[in-house]
Formats: sequence, C-alpha cells, structure tokens
Amino acid sequence: MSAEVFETCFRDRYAALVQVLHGLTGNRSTAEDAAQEAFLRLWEKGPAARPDADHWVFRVARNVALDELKRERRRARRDALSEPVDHTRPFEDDDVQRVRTVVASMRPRDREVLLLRAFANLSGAEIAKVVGRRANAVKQDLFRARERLRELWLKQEGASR
Amino acid sequence: MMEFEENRERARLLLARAYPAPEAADLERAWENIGLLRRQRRQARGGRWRAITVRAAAAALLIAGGAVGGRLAFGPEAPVLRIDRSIIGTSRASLPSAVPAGRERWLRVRLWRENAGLDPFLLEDRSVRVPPGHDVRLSSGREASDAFAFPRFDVDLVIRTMRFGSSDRVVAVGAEMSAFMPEYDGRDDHGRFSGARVAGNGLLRGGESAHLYPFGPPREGGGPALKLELWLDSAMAEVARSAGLANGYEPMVIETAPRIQGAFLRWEASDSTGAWRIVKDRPHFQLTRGTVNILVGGPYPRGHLNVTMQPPPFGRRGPLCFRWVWGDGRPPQGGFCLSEQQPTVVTPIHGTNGRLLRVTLLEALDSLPP
Repeated sequence: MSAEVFETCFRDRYAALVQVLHGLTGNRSTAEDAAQEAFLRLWEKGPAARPDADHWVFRVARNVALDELKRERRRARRDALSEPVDHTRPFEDDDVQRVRTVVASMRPRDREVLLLRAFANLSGAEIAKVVGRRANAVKQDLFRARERLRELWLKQEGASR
Repeated sequence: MMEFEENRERARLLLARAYPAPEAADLERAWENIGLLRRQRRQARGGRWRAITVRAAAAALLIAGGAVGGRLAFGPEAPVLRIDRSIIGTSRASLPSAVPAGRERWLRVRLWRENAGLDPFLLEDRSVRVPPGHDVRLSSGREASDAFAFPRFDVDLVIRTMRFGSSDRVVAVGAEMSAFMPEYDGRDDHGRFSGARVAGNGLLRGGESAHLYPFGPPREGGGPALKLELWLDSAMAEVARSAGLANGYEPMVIETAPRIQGAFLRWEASDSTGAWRIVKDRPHFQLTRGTVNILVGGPYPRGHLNVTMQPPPFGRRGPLCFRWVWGDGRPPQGGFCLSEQQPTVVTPIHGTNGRLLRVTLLEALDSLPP
C-alpha cells in the first residue's frame, strides 16, 4: 500500500472507526487502541487499494476490539473487588447516558451493524464484508437493530419518568 | 420522544454525542502512535538475538559504543541493552541490534503575523541546525518598537518527524508557551499555555511546510494570531531574514538543546488485596509530551488515567515528571517524577480506596530511533 493511500484511508476512516468501536466495546481507550492496531496491520499487510482497504480495516479492528473486550472482561472478573470508587459521569447529559445504556443492552450483532451504518455510513453489502455475514442477513439485522433501539429507548424513557 | 423511524437524523446525532468523533489533536496523536508502533515492531522483528550473528552484533555494538565514547551496560529488563554515554544528543542503542545514529537536520522557521481577512505578514525567516535528540525553543528578542507590532513570545517545542513510505510528517508538540501580541492600537493581547498539546503538523513531502498556530488561528473580529511555518530537512541553505531589523527589533532566537525524547516504562497498579499487577504492556514506550492511557480498573473514564510525560526544563538535565488525570479530566489528579537515581516511584491513585500506582523507569532515550 502506498503511503498516500494509507494516509488518505486513515484520515477518512479513523474517526468513524473509533466511534464504531467505542459503541461496540463501551470503552474509548480500547476503541482507540484497536483502531490504531488495525491501521498498523493495514499498513503492514492489508489490501493495497481502496475500497477493499476500508472494509479490511473495519473487519480487523472489530476483531481486535472483541478480543480485547474478552480479555478485559476476564480481568474485570478477576479484579471485581478492586474497582475505583467513583464511576459517575457528571459531564454527560441524560440523553447521552441513556443512548449508551440502550446501545450497551443491544445484542452485539445488532449493535455492530447499527454503529457501522450510523458512523461509517457503509451499505448493507459493505457491512456484510466487515462482519462476515450475508448481505440479506445484515439487512435483517439492521432492521431489527433499529426496532430494538426504538423499543429500548422508549422503555428507558418510560423508566426515567 | 425520539422517533427513530421518522427521524433517523436525530438518532444519528444522539449516537454521535454518545460516541463523539476524536478531535484533531487525537487524530494526530493516533497517527504518531501508529508510526511509532510500526518502527518498534520492525525493530523488534529485526532485533532479536537470534536474528543477528554474534560477530555482527559485537561489531555493531563496538562501533556504536566507540562512536559515542561511552560504555556498554545491560539494562535491568532483559533483553534491553543500554549504552550509557556522557555525550548527549547522539543516538542511544536500546535494542540488541544497534540503532543507527540519528540524522542532523536543518529547521527553518518562518514567523508570520496573521489577522483574519488580511494577508499574512512575514516577520522573520530563519534556519538553524538541529542535532539528533535536540529540542527547540523559539523566542523573540527584546520588546518591539512602538512603531512596529512585533510579537514577543517563548515557545518550547518538541519536534518529531514520522516517516510513512516515502513521505515525512513533522509533528510539533508545544508546552510552556507564552506570547504577547501587540495590537495595532498599542494594547497587548497575551496568551499562555502550559502542559502539552500538539501545536501543529504538516507533510514534508515535496518541500511542504507545517503550519502551527501555537495560540490558535486568527478569528474573525479577534486579535492577530502568531503562525510558525516549519520545514525540516537534512540539507538546507542558511537563512536569516527579519522584517523588523530596520526598526531596531532583535531577531528571533532559535535555541536547540538535548533532551530526553522518550522512555521505556513499567506500569503497575495495586488491587484491593495489595497485590501488584502490570497495567500496560511491558516495556511500554512513551514519548516525551505524549499522553498514555493507563487502565487501572473499571470502565472508562473513571477507571482510566491519562498520563502525560514532561521532560526537564529546556536546556537542563533533571528528572522526568508525569502528570495524571482521570479519563474524564475531573479532579482529583496527581503527579510524580522519576530519574536514573530514583527509577521507581509508588504513588497513591487519588479517588480510589487507597490503591497505588508503581512506575518504573527502565530506559530513557535521548533520541528516538530513526
């Protein structure tokens, strides 16, 4: 891959990738680490041209983030008694907190298609390449994800009243 | 009510607020990190003991050691190998294979004064030779004459170049910056920034320069802005021009001084039982003025510390000091210092139930491997 293609891909896609991974993992730091790792791998052994490079980097980043998430869960179970005391997020307004809660409570496969569509603006066929499922299945997932998001949001809204 | 089907745009906006896009400075930091990781891995792959013959390794180390007039010593963390030197500013081998010496570069600085909506005005154009491992401080001369609105400023910069394929990108990280920008009506507008932030960056390909606004770009209706335009090149003609000499203005001063450019560190945090666990890859390499995210337990942001490494003051030797804040930037916060004499520090993580952070300095590098 040429340096120019790599840099263009990085500048076009890094931000969306971090947003998708943040939503997927619920952890900004993990998201940034996974995104950087994916771009590093793209530079070293990814496809030479776009748009294949875009799908490739999203797929790799997703796998890296999910692996890291598993490790973090294992660590969290091990360190369950040593959590820091203050988990408040005073800078976040109610809507932001509610969206995060709703997204976190979705099924992972629904969550990832929703985030890929929202932030990376990928088509159904492109999302299918990233998540390794058939395009038709992805369309159904996307439809179900939106429905689920709406249901959960309304439920949250009802609970907050 | 959020009508997702009827108003997908609102849903998209809410998602974007919940999962915000990285800021420009984060993007540049990520770009820098990727370049650094790539170099580290390339060296790690090419630098294993098994990958080089004993004769080649010995020859390389003797050359490296002899060239810098130093002595060789094994570091505390195998397989890190150190070359301790008294001469500062040349490259330091930190891996089993000797790292090639850094290159000397020329830095050319153009100082501009910019007002929104007006053509920029070139104040100075100056160049200086920068030995490897040196940082740069730019400062104005004495106060400008009343007749000519020259800025007075002091900018301490860490300037790095990151190479991707055939192109270089220069990244300047500034700290301890202050500027007084005289207004045309005689008033002084001043800005001050301490800490560290990416002041600017730019591609060096094809003679392109990096544009830096250390105190922000010009704003409509605001005062003038100070712009630095930088070139970094291995070969450059010496330049020294100033628009203000005729007005009695002393030229801009560009100083260079050796300084620690990065360090290998080990990060550990205690858990509720008092046991230590490593909380960052070992050995973790941190760039001077870079910020690293340390997961000490729990979800983001209150389970994460953002730690920034600050070098000693410009032109002076001294300890490496660190400031940390929680992931959300809210108090409490803390700091600590490390030095070769005191390479390990144990410090409380404020905001937790008596948990501790233990940081060990494994190796400090005067210059980054090219």
